[in-house]
Order: sequence, then C-alpha cells, then structure tokens
Amino acid sequence: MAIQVVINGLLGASLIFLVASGFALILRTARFLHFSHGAVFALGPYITAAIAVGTGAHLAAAAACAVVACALVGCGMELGIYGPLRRRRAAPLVMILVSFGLYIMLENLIGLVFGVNVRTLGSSDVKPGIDVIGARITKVQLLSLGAALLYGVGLAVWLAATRAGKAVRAVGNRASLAETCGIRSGRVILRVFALGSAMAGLGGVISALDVGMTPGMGLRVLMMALVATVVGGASRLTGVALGALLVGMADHLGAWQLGSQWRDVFVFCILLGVLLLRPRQALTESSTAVIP
Amino acid sequence: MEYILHILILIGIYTILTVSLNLITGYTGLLSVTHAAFYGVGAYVAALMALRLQSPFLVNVACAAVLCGVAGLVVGVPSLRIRGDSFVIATFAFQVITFSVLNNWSALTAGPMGLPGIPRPVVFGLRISSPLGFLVLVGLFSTGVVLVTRRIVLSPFGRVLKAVREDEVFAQAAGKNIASHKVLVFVISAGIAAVAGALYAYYISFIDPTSFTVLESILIISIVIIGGAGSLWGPVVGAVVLVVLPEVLRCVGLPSSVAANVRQILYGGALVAFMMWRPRGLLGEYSFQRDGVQG
Repeated sequence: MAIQVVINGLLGASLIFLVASGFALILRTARFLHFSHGAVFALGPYITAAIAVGTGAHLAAAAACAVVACALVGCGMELGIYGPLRRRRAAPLVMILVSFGLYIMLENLIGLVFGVNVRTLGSSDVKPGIDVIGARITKVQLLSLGAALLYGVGLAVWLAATRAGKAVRAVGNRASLAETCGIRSGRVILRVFALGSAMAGLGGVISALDVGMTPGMGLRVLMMALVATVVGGASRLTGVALGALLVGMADHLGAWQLGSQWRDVFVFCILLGVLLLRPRQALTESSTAVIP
Repeated sequence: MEYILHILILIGIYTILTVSLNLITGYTGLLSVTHAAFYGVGAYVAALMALRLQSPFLVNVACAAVLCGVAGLVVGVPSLRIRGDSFVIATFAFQVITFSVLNNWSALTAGPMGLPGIPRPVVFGLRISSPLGFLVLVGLFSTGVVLVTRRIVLSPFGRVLKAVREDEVFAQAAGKNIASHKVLVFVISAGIAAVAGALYAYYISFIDPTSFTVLESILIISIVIIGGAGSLWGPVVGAVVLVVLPEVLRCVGLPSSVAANVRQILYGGALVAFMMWRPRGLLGEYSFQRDGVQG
C-alpha cells in the first residue's frame, strides 16, 4: 500500500512539475504570479477534444495541435495584457488581479463553450495498470512520469547550455543587466510563456487522459504548482523539481494518512508553515526589477 | 417585484462584504483573498447557532462577528511577518483551508450537504419572513456598516491605514504602531464580513460551502476594485453595478444555463479591463501604484 501511495505521489509530482516549471520561469523572468496558467492547463485537453471530435484526427495529433494552441494562448496573454502592463510598471497587485481576472474569464469561457460537466478524453475502457514492485501504474501515468522526466532534463540542459536558455537565466536574474548585454528581455519572456504554456497544456491533456476534464481542473493543479514554487524556490529548476516532488508526495501521503478530504488542508498548511518560517522578500521583487 | 427586492437584498449583502474588504485592500493596501472565508465562517456560525441552540438572531450575528474577528486575528498576525505577494498567497492558503474545513468537517458543518432550514430571524419580537422585511433588515445593517466604516476611515486610525498603504516604512518611522493597525483592520473587517454571512444564511435559509470558495473571494475583490478601492462609496457603487449587470443580461434573454458562466466572464473581463485602463476603479483614489517602500 505504501509503495502505491509513493508511486501515486511521484505521478502527482510529475504533473505538478510540468505546470510549476513554467509558472516558476514566468515568475522569475516576468516577475509576477501568472495565475491564469491554470486556465491554460484546462485549455489543453478541451482543445484536443474539439480538434479530435471536429476533424476526426488521431488523439496524439490533436493533442500536439492543442499544445501549440496553448503556447499561442500564453503568448497572446503576454503580448496583449501582461507585457503592456509590465512596461507601464504596473504594481505587483495589479498583475495578480489581472491574472485572476484572466483565469476566471478563461475557465468560464471553456465552461460556456464545452459545458461544465466532466468529460473524458480518449477511450474510456478501464484497464488494470501494469504491475510494478507491488503497485500498479497505468499507461497514462507512465506517460506523465516520462514526460516530466524528459522535460525536466531537457529544460535543465536548455537552461544551462544553450544561448536561449542562458538568456532566460540572465533575464531571470537581472533583467536590466541582461538588456545591456543585448538580450531582448521581451522576446525571452515571450519564449518562456510559449514554452511554459505548452507544457501546461500538455499536462492538462495527460491529466484528462487519466481522470477526465472539467473547466475548473486547472485551479487545484495551479495551487499545487504555487505551493511547489514557494516551497522549492523559483530561482533554480532543481528547487522547482524538489518542490513539485514534495507537494506531490505530501498530497498523496496526506490523503493516505489523514483521509483524502484533508489533502488540501495538509498541503496548504505546509505552505503556510514555509511562508511563516522562511519569510522572504516578495516573490516577485528583486533589487533591480526594471524590465523594459 | 419580488425579484427586484431580491436583487436589492443581494446588493445590500454584497455592500457589507465589499465595504469591509475595502478596509483591508483599499485603505491598508493589503490584497486579501480570504474574504469569502470570513463570509462563510460568519454564515456557518450564525446558522449553526440558530439550528442547534435556537438562540436569537441578534445574538447569533454578534457571536458570528466575534468569532470571525478571531479568524481575522489569525490571518492578520501573519501579515506582520509575510509581506507583499507572499502575503497574498498566504491569504489564499487561509481561504482554501477554511473552505476545506467547512466542506469536510461534516460532524459540525454537515459538509457538502449544507445546512437547510435556517429559521426566520426574530428581531425585537418581530418575525421577518417577507422579502420586504428582509430588505429593511439588510438595508439597516448595510447602512450601519457604511456609517461605521466611514467613522473608521475618517478617524486617525483610518489615516494610519492609508499611511501604511502609501509608505509603510515612513509611517513606522513617524512612530505609528502599524502592527496593531494591520491586525486590527483584519479583525474589524472579518467581523463585518461575518454580519453579511449571517444575513445571507438567514435570508436564503440554506447554506453550503460552495458559496464561500476562492472564486467568491476573487469576485468580492473584483467588486471592490471596479467600484474603486480606497474610496467610501466605491464599494457600494461596485456592488450595485456588478450585482445588477448580470441580471440585466438575464432579462435581455440570456439562457440561464449559460448565465452563471457569462456572469463570471463579465466579472473577470471587467477586472482585467479596469486593471489595464483604470486601476483606481470607478470612484477610487487608490490605483495600487506605490512610490514608497513595499510593505
């Protein structure tokens, strides 16, 4: 039983990582809490369903298109709303409120267009999972784990070794200084939005394959990603990964030991504990937070 | 006619909520996503007392306000240690935890089943059961709340709150005890929100946790922002506009199956639009831009 819980925790963590990595990168480079990231998570599977049903395409192809669409949506939010606000030096509270508003709009738009009931993605045969050291994992959950691992490693390499990745780190560290070195922070942030939103959409597709989709599915994942980012620290990818792992584990271990109705309370108490014991300078601020 | 009375009663209840949140967010400059939790705790305390103890209406309202004031204390004290965006996240955590407790502590709150059959309030021997009676009751309470808030805001206490909003370090340097002010404003605001919760519970005579979620908190914030944070009448105007607008749409012929979604899209869209182009809201004086040091 314990092994099953641990494996479930790992799988939960992998999904959280897919969302939290984008969230953290956006937090570092664009310096605000991109709450509507959760809506992009929900958008992925719904667009996939729309494409698959509308054109009869294969699920994988539809998912690929949906992931691209999510990247576009993320870029749209940055180009249309967040970017202009940032260039106007809008206060952090303004940015949070805007992201709340965007989240509400998007979630309800999905509900409006697709209906608020739970929908399934793909075939709904219930098959037993593969047996792994006494626990069971379904194919979808393996997909989740694989995607998160591949992405994590790929992202780490990208950030460390490639020019574009290093630009992201530079902007995340000191945007104004990066600008003087010729790095266009606006472009970098756009890229981060595209990548983060794409992966959030992918995460949504995987989650929908696992447990189905509702318009509000992004809220809880976003909250978990938020906790992971705060607990693990947004400044390093390993921090986000560890945070995701911690939250995923805490979520499932808490459900196992305390009963699944207390999962949220448990995870958020951890968050409060971390915030109280390690108060840090406002998440979004750094000493020279000037972003052209 | 009853429909119009219903709208007016909702406006009254939301006025109490927005005016109280305005104290925290508009005047002190602290964004709090916990307000629906205070609203909910107030509603549940009043409802549980009415159902289990059969205690009178005013006693229930008073107890709800006091207990919620304690809840405000629990949220306000961490505000001294956790600053800025982290504090917004902390209030978010409080909101989620409170909702989860209301939803899952079934022994006390009956969980998702909710509490039905809340009796009609009896005030000074008068049993209030008609919509008009409720309107008078809610109207009296909301007027009282607005007047009390006005007193608070125009007093030295209120001026220190504004100082905290504008430049906290400077206020401290000038010798103001900002810690007590920050905590007190949470206690007062939460207590007032509890009154709204109690009124809501008695009016609908049934409450369940789904009325007190994070999204409800964000909705209340939206109304405060759009009406105008930091102004006396902004929250009232905001409540009127944002309660009436979706109903207008419904009258115009929007099918009720999509009404809920359209209503929320409206709120979200209005919030985004105002943040983009007029962060101070319709009547507000505070546009969230800070020149001083972030608190």
